[in-house]
Amino acid sequence: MKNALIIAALLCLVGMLGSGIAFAAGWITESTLKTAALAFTLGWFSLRLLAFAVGRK
Amino acid sequence: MNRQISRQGSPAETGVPPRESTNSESIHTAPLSNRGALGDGALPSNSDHTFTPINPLFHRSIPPSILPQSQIKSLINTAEPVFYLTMQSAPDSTPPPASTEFERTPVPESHQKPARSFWGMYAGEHTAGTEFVIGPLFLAAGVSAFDMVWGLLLGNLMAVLSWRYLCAPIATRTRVTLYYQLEQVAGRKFIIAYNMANGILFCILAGAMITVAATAVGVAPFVDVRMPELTDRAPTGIAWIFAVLIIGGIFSWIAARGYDMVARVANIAAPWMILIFLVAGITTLPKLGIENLSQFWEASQTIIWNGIPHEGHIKFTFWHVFFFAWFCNAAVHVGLADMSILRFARKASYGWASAAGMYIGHFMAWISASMLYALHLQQNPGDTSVLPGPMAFEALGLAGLLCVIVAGWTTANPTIYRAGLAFQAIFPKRSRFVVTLATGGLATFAGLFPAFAMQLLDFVGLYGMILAPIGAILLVDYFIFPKMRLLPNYAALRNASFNPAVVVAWTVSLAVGFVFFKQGVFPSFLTLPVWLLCGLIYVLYTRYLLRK
Repeated sequence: MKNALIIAALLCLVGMLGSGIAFAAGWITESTLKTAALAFTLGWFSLRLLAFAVGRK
Repeated sequence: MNRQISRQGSPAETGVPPRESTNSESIHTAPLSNRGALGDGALPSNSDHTFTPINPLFHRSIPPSILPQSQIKSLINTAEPVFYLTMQSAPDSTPPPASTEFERTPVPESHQKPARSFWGMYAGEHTAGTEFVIGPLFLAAGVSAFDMVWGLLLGNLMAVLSWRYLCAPIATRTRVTLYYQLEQVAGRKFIIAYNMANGILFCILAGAMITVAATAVGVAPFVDVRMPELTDRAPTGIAWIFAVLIIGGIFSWIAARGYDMVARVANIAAPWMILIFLVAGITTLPKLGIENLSQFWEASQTIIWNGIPHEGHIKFTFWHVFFFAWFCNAAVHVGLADMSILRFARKASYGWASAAGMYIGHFMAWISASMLYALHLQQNPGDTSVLPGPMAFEALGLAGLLCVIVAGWTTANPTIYRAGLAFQAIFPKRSRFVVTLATGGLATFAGLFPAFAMQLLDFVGLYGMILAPIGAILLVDYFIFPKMRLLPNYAALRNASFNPAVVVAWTVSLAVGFVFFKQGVFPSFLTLPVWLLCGLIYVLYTRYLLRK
């Protein structure tokens, strides 16, 4: 469970990098980039904290 | 600040004053000569260890003197095991209280860490809030693209080599903290002076981090804060003062409450912060008019690093970038503060892990921050202010803004905490909470003045120049003295509270450095000469003392 949460969190980072590259390539707009960056940030922190909580149990 | 391996092993950081401790652990493991402070033979009641004078090197009846080479070698060769032997002197007795920090004992093999711990820690630790300021300051100093890229590549390489071939070898051989080693060489009174210098410099550094975090407030639409510009030295108004006081107050309160939570959040935030820096840099490319990567090098020379310094700034050359990159962390590599970390390394080769910090934090992050500033200048040609908050917000919106606050928080907090512990080692009777809170107050006061953040390149250079020479003294004492038939660990041998050779070497070399600094020499240029001078004076003065 903990490992699955960490992998999901890492996918958020991959998603953030991907959205940056997509913006630089002109595939997405600036507002989409900023929304995606915020969503991936929230995803990263919530999944990592969840993984931490699961690991403590 | 990824802290998989805690730095709390140092007396300055743990608040354990070097010679004040009366717990049984320090009794059992301190070199024999150190036990005098506890009263000869006055062992604590819970002690059932038997002490045997295993190594004459630490026996106070032998004065340091010039000895035959063979005798020196035999003494030195048995110098390291003495700690282990004293710890194991009574195998059947009750073991000393467990401590995983090993403040005053060598790290045993069972507590040494694998290489991956060091790679992660260095990568996280060197991607901090201040990177948002350093990159733009290079650009403001008119550095060219070639000088920036090659200066960083080679300067960071020198820093990595310093970690690998200076800091890591002594750390993995002695397996003790800088503070403990320094106490053996320079004496406990000198530790107080060193801690004072450390504490004050940490406060100013934390203040710069608070300034960086406070720039995030400027983005809020409902607050009208005049943000500091590059030339601002004093607070820019009441709103700025309130912003810094609130942020500094929160940081100080959290630091005073303890280190665990901050360390945990910092561990979680580190990979995300690295990604934010990288993505922020990538997203500036189309906005700067760089359509594809093949244009990058050509465009970077005119659009990003055009080589024209801002008004009031000296022009930076390759050498400025090279020496700054090498010595911005001089206090921890050539100054040996990272002995506290690398003593946990199984092998000296783990020193290569510092490359993660240098090439992610001090290469990629500085270049990304430079690009953010170039975009800011392109969009606001008359506005030269370096404002990490608005710059990150422009690039990545709220995620970027969050990064500035988190980066400031996760780096200012341990800095305040460590400064507090350095001061607490000087005032051991005060509670850690009160001392850390007061230290946070000092850091917040420093944060009110944008001068420290806007002159960060000079400050970081000075920071290295002041603390790095201590590393020269320890390296000379450990590696060169035996070859010169001089006994190391003067203070431990003589049970002295200070070593005059260390005091003279440090103060004279610093005085020379400050003379040149006052004449306008870039501080990072001075670190190497001052470091070498300090080592040389230490050798010469020690020989003079011993012959006298």
